[in-house]
Amino acid sequence: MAAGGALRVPARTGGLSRAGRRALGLVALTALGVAVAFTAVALQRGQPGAAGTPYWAALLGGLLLAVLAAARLSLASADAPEDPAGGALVSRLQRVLPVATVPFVLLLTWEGLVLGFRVPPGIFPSVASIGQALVRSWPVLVADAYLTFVREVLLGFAVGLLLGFVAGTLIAFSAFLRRGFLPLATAFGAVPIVGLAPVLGRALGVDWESKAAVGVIVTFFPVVLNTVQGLTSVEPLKLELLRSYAAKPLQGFLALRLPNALPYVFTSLKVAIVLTVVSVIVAEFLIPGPPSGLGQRISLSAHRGQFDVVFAAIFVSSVLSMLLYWTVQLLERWLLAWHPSARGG
Amino acid sequence: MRAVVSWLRGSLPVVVVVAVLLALMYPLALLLGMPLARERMGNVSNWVRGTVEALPVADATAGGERLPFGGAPEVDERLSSLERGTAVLVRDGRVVAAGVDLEDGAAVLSAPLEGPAVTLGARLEPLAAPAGSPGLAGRLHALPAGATAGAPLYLDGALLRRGSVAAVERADGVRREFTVPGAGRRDGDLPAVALVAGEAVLEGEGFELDGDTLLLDAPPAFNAPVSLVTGDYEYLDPAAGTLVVRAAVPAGAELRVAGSHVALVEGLVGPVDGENRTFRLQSTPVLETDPARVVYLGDRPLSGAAERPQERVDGARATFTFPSDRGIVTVDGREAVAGVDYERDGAAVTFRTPPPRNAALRQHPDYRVSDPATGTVTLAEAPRPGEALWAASYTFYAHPACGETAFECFLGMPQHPVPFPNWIAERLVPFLTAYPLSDPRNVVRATLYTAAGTLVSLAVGTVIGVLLAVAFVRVKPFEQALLPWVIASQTIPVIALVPVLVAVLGNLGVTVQTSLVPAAIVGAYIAFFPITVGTVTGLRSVDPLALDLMKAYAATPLQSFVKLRFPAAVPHLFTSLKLGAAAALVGALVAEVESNNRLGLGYAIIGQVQAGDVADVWILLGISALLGISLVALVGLLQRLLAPWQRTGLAADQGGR
Repeated sequence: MAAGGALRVPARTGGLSRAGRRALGLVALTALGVAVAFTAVALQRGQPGAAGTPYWAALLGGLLLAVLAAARLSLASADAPEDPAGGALVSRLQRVLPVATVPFVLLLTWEGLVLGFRVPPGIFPSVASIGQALVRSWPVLVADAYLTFVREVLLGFAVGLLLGFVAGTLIAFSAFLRRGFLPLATAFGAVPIVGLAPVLGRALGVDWESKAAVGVIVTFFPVVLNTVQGLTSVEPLKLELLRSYAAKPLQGFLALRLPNALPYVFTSLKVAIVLTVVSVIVAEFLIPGPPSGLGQRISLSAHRGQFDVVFAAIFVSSVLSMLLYWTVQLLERWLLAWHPSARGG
Repeated sequence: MRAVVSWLRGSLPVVVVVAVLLALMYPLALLLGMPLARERMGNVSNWVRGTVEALPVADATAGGERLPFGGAPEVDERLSSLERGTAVLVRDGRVVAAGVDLEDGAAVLSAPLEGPAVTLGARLEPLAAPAGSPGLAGRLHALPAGATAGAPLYLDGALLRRGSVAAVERADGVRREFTVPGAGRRDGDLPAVALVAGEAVLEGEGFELDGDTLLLDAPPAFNAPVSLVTGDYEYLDPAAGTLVVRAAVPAGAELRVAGSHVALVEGLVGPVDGENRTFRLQSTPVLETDPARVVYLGDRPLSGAAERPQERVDGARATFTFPSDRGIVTVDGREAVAGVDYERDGAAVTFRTPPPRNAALRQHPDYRVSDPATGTVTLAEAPRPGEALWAASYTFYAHPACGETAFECFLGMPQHPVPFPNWIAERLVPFLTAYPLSDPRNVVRATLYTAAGTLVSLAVGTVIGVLLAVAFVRVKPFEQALLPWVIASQTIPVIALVPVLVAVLGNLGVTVQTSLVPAAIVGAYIAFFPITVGTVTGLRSVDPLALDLMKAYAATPLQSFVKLRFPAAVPHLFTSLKLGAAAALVGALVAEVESNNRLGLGYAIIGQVQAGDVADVWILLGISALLGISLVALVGLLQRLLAPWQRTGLAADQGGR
């Protein structure tokens, strides 16, 4: 996949420099290594019993070849004054190939070890069985993900963000609250979710509400802390400028403090969204309620020894939380296009 | 002195905010708890049950037109709540007078009673006091041969009342303290009498009474019944007819059992006009299926049983056969009307439209309770004018067991959603000192165990995190290849991996229930990430000019790393270590919970949530927060010791910007 994407770039194969040809050769070697390891795994799958020496040789050799070739390519110098096209190709390949090789190597190592040692599925599943479980339990997982992400994570996140921002704004404008609340906010942030989740479960019931509340709290504290910091860390010079323009406090808030706070808030949001997903799933583990939601699915499947379903659910939740993270990041780029950090790239 | 004042002034806002938050817990506890309390109160299955029974005449010598009843407070209260002209006097199951009015606890008859109200039987035989309890002399008696247990007893003509209250706790073979609700309310200076495993025990000769608490000299055997006599007497063994009287019977007094006697029973309320079929019991709400309920129409006892049809209700069948050939037919609790909904042919009932599949089809031969909430009963046939409808006994719900008001019920709830702060304060010392320090259940010990797990995992995470960071900084492609996957690793809910980890470790021969290994691995897995990120930032925060200088001095890469980059990274390292410490604690707790490790704080929290007091859970929550803060403070202390040139990580961050 990586090699294919990179190959399309320079069409003039004939005019390639030595460096460019060497880079393409290394890509081919990487692909070859991955292919050899993949073939070894694929052949081993049908075999009964533990693997023999040829299997291990092919697997390790293929993986080693892929890693070494990718490493050699990334260490190669992209400076080629006499051949700018070749240099560009090399640097492009350097950016893509290692990142793309790692998942192949990791997954093949995993699959190779599990198949080679014949690890029973009740202890550790193979990648292939996880894929099958993903397809097999897809409707269940989608329903679980809907509950976990839409009902619990997104709702909790939105409410926590709103409450946190309002509370942060109030605290930022009151020196008394700032002195009284901020040390406590740090202390509350130290309450581990393992302790908090059962208490919320007791208070709000075992249904989705208590898990959404976990999301609210996990989001609330980072947002409060960063909102306060963003609203208060305004340059005094700018404040004086506004004062000399006879700006009203609200104008000062909208024109200066709020824009200044946004980058801080987004920083906290990026931390909070990933933390919320993980915490909500932890809460689903610790508040045994109705058997739906990704955390409950993982917990129940793990107790039944269906580790392929466990990993499939983990995969779904990871992909979704990465998507959420990227959404926040995208929103940040879009809203903060004017900010130096975005302009600077 | 001045320092103290300024410290106080500085911490005033924190104190105020804490006080406000604590005060807010009260309305929060009420907000979340009161609906549950109301629900508890509204559910009659949680109510205390009372029984309505026939009342014997209070004075055995009474006769004529006024018969006294009552004499005990609870009996007087019941009599005064009876509707006027509804009392019925019966003798041996036969109505003597119906529609009787009560006046000052005495039944006023229109015509004098024939014969005496009570014919007294033989005297009770006194039993010898057991050795060791001389106080029981004159208190133990046995019924004469032929007398039935339960018949009223008269002492010199005055009615004795039977009654006892069971202890709340069950005897477990060790317990000596028992609570008897209402035992503290004592009348006179009569010594209390307890019943322990069918034996009478006199106060001062086997137990002491302190308020509602009974302290027995010797623990009763496992499951032995423990109760306190609250009436005038109570049976020790009803089958043998042995009983204990609270006040010793004087030598010359006559303690006799009643033979035939007049009793007052409750008449059902409703017009008896030959057409009306619905009547009302006077104490409500009643138990719908009450085995103790006995209703009489005149001298005939009515059956409150419900008959089932012989056939299955399959949705198509319309004709059903019942055991008897009369009664009220109900479909799913609704009464079907004869001649409209069904036709009757002896015991066979044919519906116009077949009842739905699996509907509850019943026939009540005599009567049924049509509305338990109001105590309404519907008779199959209307009583003829002049007939008396009366209840010899039935069970009703007297009042909520948890208390008279919703707030009392709230206070008495076994599991509160949120506790009042003062409950937490009260529980603090008993909870922390419940077990000795050598016991694994001791909370302080569990906290230290979890702290140890966290520190081990933090150490592992730091080594991995720093090595990874050094590799990232030294070998740029390494970072390019691995960093996205390191970030992705943090989106995996780590708790999900614990069961897998437990399975794998268990297979490798690690006893996960008592091992720090799961905590170390999971904590390290969460903690390494902030440490890697922080260290990378720190290693990169070197002044380029300084790097050039090193190059100019021909320093080796190792030298410039050790002398320049590493010192520059230390403040960042400590900042990220603080983040990592909090994360490692979460990881360690999660691992403990999921690997069933009973030695740590995590399991204590989960165990308390399932079984314990909510105040204990909040105490544990506070302890775990305190543990998190202390671990972060510990890292800060370490920073002061190891890197005294940089006071705080924050200052370093700002300097770097």
